[in-house]
Amino acid sequence: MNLYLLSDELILGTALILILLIDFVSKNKRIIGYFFNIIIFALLIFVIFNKREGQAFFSAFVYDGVSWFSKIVFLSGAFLTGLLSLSTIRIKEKYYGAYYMILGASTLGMMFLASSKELITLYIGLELATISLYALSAIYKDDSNSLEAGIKYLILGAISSGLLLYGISIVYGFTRTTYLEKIISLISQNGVDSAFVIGVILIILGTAFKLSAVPMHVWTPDVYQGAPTAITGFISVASKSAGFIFVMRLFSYTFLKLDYIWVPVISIIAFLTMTVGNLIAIPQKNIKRLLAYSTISQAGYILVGFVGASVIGMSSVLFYVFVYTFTNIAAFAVVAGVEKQTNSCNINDYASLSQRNPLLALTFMLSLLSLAGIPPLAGFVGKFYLFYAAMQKGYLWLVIAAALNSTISLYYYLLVLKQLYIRNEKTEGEKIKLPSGIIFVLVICIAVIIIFGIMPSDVIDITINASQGMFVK
Amino acid sequence: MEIISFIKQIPILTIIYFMPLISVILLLFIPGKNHKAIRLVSLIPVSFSFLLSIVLLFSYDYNTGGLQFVEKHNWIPSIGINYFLGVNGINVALVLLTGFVIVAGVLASWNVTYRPKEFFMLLLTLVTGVFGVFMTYNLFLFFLFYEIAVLPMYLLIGIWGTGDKEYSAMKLTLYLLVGSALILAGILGLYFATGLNTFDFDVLEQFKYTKEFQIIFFPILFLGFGILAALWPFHTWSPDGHASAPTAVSMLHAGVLMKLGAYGCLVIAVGLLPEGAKFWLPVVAILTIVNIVYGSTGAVAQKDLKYIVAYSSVSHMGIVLLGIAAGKSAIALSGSVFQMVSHGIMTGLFFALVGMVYGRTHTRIITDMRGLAKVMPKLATFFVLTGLCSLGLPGLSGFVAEITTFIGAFKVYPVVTLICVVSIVITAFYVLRVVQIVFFGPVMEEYKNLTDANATEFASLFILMVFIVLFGLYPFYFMKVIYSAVLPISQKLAGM
Repeated sequence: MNLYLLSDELILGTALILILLIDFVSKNKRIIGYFFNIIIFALLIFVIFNKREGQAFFSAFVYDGVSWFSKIVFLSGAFLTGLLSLSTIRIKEKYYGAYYMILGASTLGMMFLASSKELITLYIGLELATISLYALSAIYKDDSNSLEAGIKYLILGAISSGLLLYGISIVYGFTRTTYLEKIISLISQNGVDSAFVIGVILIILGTAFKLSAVPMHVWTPDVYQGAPTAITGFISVASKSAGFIFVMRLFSYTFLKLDYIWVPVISIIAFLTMTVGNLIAIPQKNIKRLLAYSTISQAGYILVGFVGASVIGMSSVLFYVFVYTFTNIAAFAVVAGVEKQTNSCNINDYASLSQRNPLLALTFMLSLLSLAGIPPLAGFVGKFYLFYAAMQKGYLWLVIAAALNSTISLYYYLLVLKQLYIRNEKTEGEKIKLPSGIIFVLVICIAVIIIFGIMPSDVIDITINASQGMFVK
Repeated sequence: MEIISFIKQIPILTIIYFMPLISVILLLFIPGKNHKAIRLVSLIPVSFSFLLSIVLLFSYDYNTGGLQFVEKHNWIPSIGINYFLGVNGINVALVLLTGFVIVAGVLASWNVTYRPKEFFMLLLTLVTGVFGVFMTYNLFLFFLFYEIAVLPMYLLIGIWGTGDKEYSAMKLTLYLLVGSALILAGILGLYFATGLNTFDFDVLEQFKYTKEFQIIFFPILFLGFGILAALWPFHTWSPDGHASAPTAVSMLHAGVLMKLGAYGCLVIAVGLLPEGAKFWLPVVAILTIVNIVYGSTGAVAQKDLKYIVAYSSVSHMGIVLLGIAAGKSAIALSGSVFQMVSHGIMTGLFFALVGMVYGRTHTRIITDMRGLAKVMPKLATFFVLTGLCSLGLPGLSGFVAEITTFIGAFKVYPVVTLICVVSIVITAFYVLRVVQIVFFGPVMEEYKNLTDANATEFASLFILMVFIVLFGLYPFYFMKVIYSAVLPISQKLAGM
């Protein structure tokens, strides 16, 4: 037993208990927020510089390149969210302990998920991550939108978990094991029959909920609108990334031999997800709902990567998830910053933001353009790489559809840009002041969006190594 | 000779495209109120690029031909993406075109007072992209620069445009991005068809693609680029976009950006997929008839000066595309590239002039103006000369370009060419009509106090006019440079 392998999770778990203790002991609840951010940041640095290889618990828990890389992504997401929460969260101070504790628990679930190679552990990791988010979405107790978000998220989430578990139980029924390695060898020895296909499809549907992929996407706009903005950002990146890691472990790895079953399904879901997301985003008037549909379409693009060949496909997904985390959090940080002052999420209230706060406008522009895949921003390389992966398998129709979808998405992003830069009716509108926490988040995100757009090579190599490492026994 | 060997040592191409980027970065730090500094910071680096692009023309060795001034570095090696710059004769011509149009464009925007800092930043970002496209030989890098060149247009038209600017800006951007979606798919297709794990053009060029592949991918790529070159029926963004755009943007867009589409059609679609081209080019030739004839008749029907020029652009781009369609003949191809340059200058001049006239009269409707030659003789002279170039008067660059294209194309598609030649008559009709209505006759009362071109405006027009006359009277050197680059392409097409 190598406890060193689990040290990331142990540190975070201990920190969460400490947060509870501080919450009991300390009168000054504000320090909990600072404590959380410091711990997460320290852990992030620790993970970055401590790449480990190995497995524990009869290979139910592994530490490989993929888990290392996705832990970095999750912790970055949690860190940025924590920073953002410091100044934008509108809850009574006595709830701070609970808030950060749950946020940390969600992160912990994702980190476990990233290292699991066993169906039950995977499932528990995923649920720990999601259930914590149900609570966080509803944390504005006096706001009916927030409560609606929580309830909706909970009920639909429960249904999807049911589907997922049912699928997993079918897989277990056929293979009599929950260990991914054993499932692989059993599949390659015995083949599968048609009932197994149903199991695979149920799992796809169950995870589609976490990815907010069509047809399980309907919860997204309401939850995104009602949840506290910082949490919306977190749901849109970290929880979604966790879903993708889950899909990666299960499909790109375990069911690789069965790609004739799931690749067509995923390619159709990818196509529907991006198209539906983009088309419904166009008429939105509320920025959070617009971004919600935009993230649905982003999930569609990422699914395109899964259609691609295994190593390149996974590497492209990892790279995009990394870029997408910073890009989308940048967008939600802007929303949070504007909302803090104007108390509005209406797109029309963003008019002439470029005059009222140039930094906010610039970040918003860069993140939206990066989401649309415009060079030289990181989103461009990411999307190019995803399409590259799909094209390698000859999915020309999907690539053309995805590229045309980027054009559609640009349409509503440009509508927002028009408010920011072209509209000038509100030049007299109030200037927006930002707390330093938000400025810090914005600057980090801008830096990542630009730097990894121009010099993506190293990260791409890391992701390629990571996905190759997954197949090495 | 020492100078040339020195130039071959420095990364001259990087310097050329980096100059406008330096302006952009400097502009970030200049306060928006300091208009003078903003203008100078915008002008000086691009002038330097312009000078270097002239140097490039004369240091390019057309006897050797092929790619010269190559710069190659690894960028994202794992998927075959290199930083790969280089120029052949076509690129040299187009880099030069970009150089003088942007200098003229900056000079023509000297009077922009509404948010000038952002204006020049966007304009120069766009130019960086255009320069980049014309000198890169890695398809990924090509696509990257291409998108950089297209996108700033949205804000440039949306913020500083006139008329129904938000609609035009959106229409233009979406049309062009549909094009780039197709291009992206095409580029990825080319990459994986070879299996060589590289986006480098020189490697892809050597590969023999199967005929089926070429027939599928040629239309994807040609259409993608064709949209930007205003290929009928995908041209409708162009009149609206050009008419709404501010002067410098129209100049740059009609002058240079549309060439970027034609360049892509020629070098990537036709150059890489000759068998596909052989199959599809007759269809393209038919479409160009519509382009040429419809564009010129459209110009006759318009009353707004900018729309007239915009439609004439559609028609002239038709000639470029006709030359490409007749690519079997190296003469037609060189005519086509020459026309890209000639039309780029000419249309730049036209839009500059229209902008200047509009800035004074505040109307662009031709019937509302009369006798302007009396109050603004310099502008009138320039306008007449440009008009004559447009209708193909011998001695000006338009004549050289058109006659070469038509002579070359006649051998390949005699009937199509004959129909297209008729359009010259229509062009003559609408150009002379505009000149007569707007500039001659007694001057109208309310325009009596208008002033003629000031120094910067004159400089802007003069730079462009010099090249129209120069290329008209002495096209030979320039033609040789172009010919050296188009010959391999036409040999490929004719060789099958």
